[in-house]
Amino acid sequence: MQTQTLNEKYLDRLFNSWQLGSGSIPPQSDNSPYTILPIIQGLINDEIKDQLSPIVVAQNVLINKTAEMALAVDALEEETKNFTKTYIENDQLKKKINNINKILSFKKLEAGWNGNNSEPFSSKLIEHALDFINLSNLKYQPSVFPTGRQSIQLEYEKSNGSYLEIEVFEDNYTMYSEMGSDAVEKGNLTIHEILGEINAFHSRF
Amino acid sequence: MPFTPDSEIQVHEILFRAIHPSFWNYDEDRPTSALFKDRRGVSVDRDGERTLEECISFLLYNRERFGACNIQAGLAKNIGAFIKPDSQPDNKFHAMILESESKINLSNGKAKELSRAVTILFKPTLE
Repeated sequence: MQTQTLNEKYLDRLFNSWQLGSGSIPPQSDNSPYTILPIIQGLINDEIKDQLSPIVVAQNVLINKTAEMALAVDALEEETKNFTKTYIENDQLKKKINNINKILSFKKLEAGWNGNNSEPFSSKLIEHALDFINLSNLKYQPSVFPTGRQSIQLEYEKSNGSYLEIEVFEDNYTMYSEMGSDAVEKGNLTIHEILGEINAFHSRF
Repeated sequence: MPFTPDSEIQVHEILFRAIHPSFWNYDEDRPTSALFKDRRGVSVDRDGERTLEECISFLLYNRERFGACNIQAGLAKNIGAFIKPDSQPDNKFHAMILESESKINLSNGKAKELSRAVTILFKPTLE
């Protein structure tokens, strides 16, 4: 490929301008600045365009790279979301297994486990608590504790001090919650009402 | 002044409660309110003019891995609990924390408040 020198370009441009611009070759004597200026400007523009072209190419490359990076960031965000979801699910599963083991360990608490006259836990109560912990729609696993009144206590606590406590009895549930300065206590709740309370507790800030 | 079993509990008296290892929330490092849920009433020992060491030693006798906490009787009464002297042949310092004079089981709210109000002397330990 041949490379035109600036002089060659100048001559081509001058010739084209005479032919295309005015339709005829100007008189030899007419070399006034008025006639030559647009030609020189055109030449300068061409020169600038030549010099700018690598910059334009580089700019396009950068735009493409930026678009590629934006796509990569989107993909990474999606992956992070999936990883977080899996992590939370695994964490809840781990808590669930711990809770099942803990509830099963309450079977070992014999008469007098908490001092004189304390009773062992009934199989019905243990089963009831296990059924609750095993519910597929129980999204959040609680902390589990025995009580001395034939019930098993489930607790949720947030870093802002909000607190929810469920007491599982053989045949029913009670709940107690504290949010800010509000304390609420409810008795004889159904399993659906309890699940509703747990979900509502976790949906609040 | 010597201690009189079954005498009325004064607000300045200190009540001691043993903490079974199951009543400790190891994640949050605090007792659970389940510590104050007992269908026979919540067992405590009155200080009975004894030293702190004597009270703890008596409370935790034969209670391996148990922790211990205490609370002033006046504070428990302010929470709304009823404290009843309940001396036993083998424990003249014994008393009960109840919901009221006629009701044994503490409400969840009072149990939670008591669990927050106690002073922890020893934490229980896991096996």
